[in-house]
Amino acid sequence: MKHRLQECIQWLKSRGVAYGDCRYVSQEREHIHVTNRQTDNLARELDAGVGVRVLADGCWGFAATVDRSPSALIKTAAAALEIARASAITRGESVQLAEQEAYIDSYQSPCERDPFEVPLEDKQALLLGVTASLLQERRIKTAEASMSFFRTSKVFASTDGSLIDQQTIESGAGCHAVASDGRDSQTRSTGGTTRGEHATGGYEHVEALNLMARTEQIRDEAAALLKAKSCPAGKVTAILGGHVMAMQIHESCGHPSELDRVLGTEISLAGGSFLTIDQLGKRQYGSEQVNLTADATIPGGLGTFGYDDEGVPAQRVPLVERGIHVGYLTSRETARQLGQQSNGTMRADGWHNMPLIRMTNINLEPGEWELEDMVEDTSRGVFLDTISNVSIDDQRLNFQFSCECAREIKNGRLGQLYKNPLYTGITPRFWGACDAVCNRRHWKMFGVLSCGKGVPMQVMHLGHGAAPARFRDVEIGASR
Amino acid sequence: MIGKKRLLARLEKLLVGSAADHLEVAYWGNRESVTRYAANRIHQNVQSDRPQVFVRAMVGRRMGLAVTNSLSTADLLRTRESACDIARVQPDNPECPGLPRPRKYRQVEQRDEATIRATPMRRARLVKSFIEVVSKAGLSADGALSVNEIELGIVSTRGVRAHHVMSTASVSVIASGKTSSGYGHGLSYRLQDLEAEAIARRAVDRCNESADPVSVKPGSYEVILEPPALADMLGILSLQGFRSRTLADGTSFMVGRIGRKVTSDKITIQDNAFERGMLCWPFDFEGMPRRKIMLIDRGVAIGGVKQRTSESEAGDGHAPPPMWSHFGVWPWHLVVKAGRVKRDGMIAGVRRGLLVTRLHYVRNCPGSRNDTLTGLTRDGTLLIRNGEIAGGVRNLRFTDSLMRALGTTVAVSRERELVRPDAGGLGVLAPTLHLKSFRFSGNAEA
Repeated sequence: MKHRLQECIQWLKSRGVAYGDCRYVSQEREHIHVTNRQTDNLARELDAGVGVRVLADGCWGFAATVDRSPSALIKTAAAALEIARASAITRGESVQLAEQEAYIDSYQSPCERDPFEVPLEDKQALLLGVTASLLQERRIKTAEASMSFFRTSKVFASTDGSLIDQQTIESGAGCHAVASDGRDSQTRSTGGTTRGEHATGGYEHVEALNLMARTEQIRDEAAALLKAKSCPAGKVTAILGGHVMAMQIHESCGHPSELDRVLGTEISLAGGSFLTIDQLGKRQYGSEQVNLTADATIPGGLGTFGYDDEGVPAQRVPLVERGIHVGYLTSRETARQLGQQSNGTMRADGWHNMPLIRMTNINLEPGEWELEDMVEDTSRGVFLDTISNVSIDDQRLNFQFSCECAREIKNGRLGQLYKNPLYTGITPRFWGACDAVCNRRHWKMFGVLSCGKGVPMQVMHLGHGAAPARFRDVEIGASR
Repeated sequence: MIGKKRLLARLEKLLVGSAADHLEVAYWGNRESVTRYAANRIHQNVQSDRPQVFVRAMVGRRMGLAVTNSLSTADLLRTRESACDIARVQPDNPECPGLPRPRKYRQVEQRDEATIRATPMRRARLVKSFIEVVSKAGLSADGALSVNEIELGIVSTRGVRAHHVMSTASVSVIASGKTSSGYGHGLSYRLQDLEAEAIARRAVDRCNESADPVSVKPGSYEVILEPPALADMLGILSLQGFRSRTLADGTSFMVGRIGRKVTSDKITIQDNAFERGMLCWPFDFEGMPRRKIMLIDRGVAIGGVKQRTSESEAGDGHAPPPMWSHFGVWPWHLVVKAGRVKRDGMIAGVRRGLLVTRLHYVRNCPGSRNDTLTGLTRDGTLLIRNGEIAGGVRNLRFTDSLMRALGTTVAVSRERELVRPDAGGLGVLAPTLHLKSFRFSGNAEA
């Protein structure tokens, strides 16, 4: 395949394009889904093809094909070139790219146990065991458990001279239980909106999740929520659990830090960003406790890779330092507009899509607190656990998130369970009220399998490292 | 497009010689071209051909699924064997509905050759025409033009033989000024139906009408809800409320309310693929004919869509792509019955209220059987005073029970628009609604 991609690159060079790249992607996927006592989806997928991106006449063109024959690749490259030239009829300023060193390299994500080699029977047996355990509580009416595995091979070649191949394996599993008493239904899960816990790695990750051991807590809490009071409304101190923090980071820091979005190229769908470039290095994003980093190099994250889809090496870059917004997620095109080099965040969903700026692993750096001390230090408040739904405005300022459950904090102790909690806020004000972050012992990487962006919609895998954190004066229970 | 004869013949070859008791082979091909533009220039312009072949193998009461995007005979045979292997390793599933027997489906012609043949230059010129209308008004244009050719073919050893091909063309235009923005959109199976000038003009007018917006206090307002806003809410609600799975597990807001009045009697909502003006898939992903399903009839909750439970049933014709089968089934073609009022006259009936063009990030609020949704207004929220537009309003967050709000319906417009919702289906055919009360819970930028 490398040879064919290089032939395609030579063809593009012969046509005098300003830049071109070809990307072969092959992805093998396996999904197992169990509901109650039955396997209701067990599937294997294979998806492979080539995408060609061309910069000509100052504009981008992209075309993709499943046919990997040499003639089909040249035809696809010609289509991409025709598209780029057609785009030029609305041209403003020509697209220019930040300088980038060329790489000839390989990357392979670590994997101790290939999940595709683990017998399907064993994987099913684990999931059926999980749902059987959840169903031991009579009020659990629906118990679901699932696993997903992804093996991705990529070859990237560019007119700049890069030739990179990468192999990545991702694995994950999760479960959720719906309890019902005929009047009310309540859900508890291991992953809320993220439908499980996924990471770059092999089956060892699934084994480490220890799903069976967690079913008792899931089922008991789902059942207990049926009798729990609704979370009281008011302005209180809130400790956000790790999963809640991960999604808070995702929506209110990750997306607004995407420089394409900041520069307005996502307005038609997802909107813009309040993190405007005139305020870079000056804007108070949060309190001094808040340090956010984009890190595509950290082991285990779903946003961990060797090179992005422009051939830029994976990097770790600060986004927020001691509460000040200091950086963006960039591409070669957008970084140049800031006089910078790309920090390597361009990724495409499969072979058939053009890369966009995507989150890598956007992490809240750990603080110094033990969770137990943080609770003890809170005289009155709530602990919010597991995000169930999110809504945020098109500038990423006004958010309203709901959680699976909350616990009262009274006189430094966790108290009664509350159902149906939601909290609201305005992003910089909310992060500005963060006064404590838990330490590395409580810090964990969360995987997101379904981050949507772009037209056509591209779904990306990415990660968030987070620990529980405390926020003052949070509006709970009331809609903003 | 491969074409009915060639495609089905090719798929049928796979039915012969399989070790499965029964086999189903489905082909989904999507040729997609998308031209995106921002700040008056095309910035992304893409084209892809993406076929997928889904093979479902039944061995006893066990079903295996394997998917490939390769059409080579060797890969297809490998995929078939993989589906059989996957079925074999499963325990028997007495609840597995198996593969259905063939049923007749209605033929629908929604393939437009000119749309499918639109060259990159034709699409770029069309986008340029949007941009010119907007930029001549001193505004900035953002949006996307998408053209698709979709082909679906299904065969099975039960005798199912179904084929459909359709084209779609959709456009969005956002016109932005210093203090406001406006929205225009179009969706059809024919590119020529998208009236570029009118769609762009609508975005410009709405942007100008909402310039220099003022803040209004959150609370309950009389509203004019335009079709894109209604469509996004119904799309989300259909996944929560009209889906077989949520009806079965008791989390749907419809549970316990069937046969009861849930909205004003001016509201009738169906799932109907064959409604005039709708983009239509005449059969589902098992080749079963789509049936018209009444969801809410003159305000009374009737039910949701139902999942097939046995080989002998045809079901409602709502089977999703096989990869999503564990989510249950949900409506794909939502239709809100048109009213008798002319849209242009609706504002005149509002003494003090808001007009909502479009919503952003609509989601469910927590709570069982809860039809409360939240989201934000965008691209044109207007203040109405004494029956006239009085200027723009800064974006607001709404949080309200949709059934409660629909219970206050004053009028439903005669005109409807086909809108692709943010989530939930192929299209929503939605009118403009005049509601007496819709609750806004906060200002977007407080």
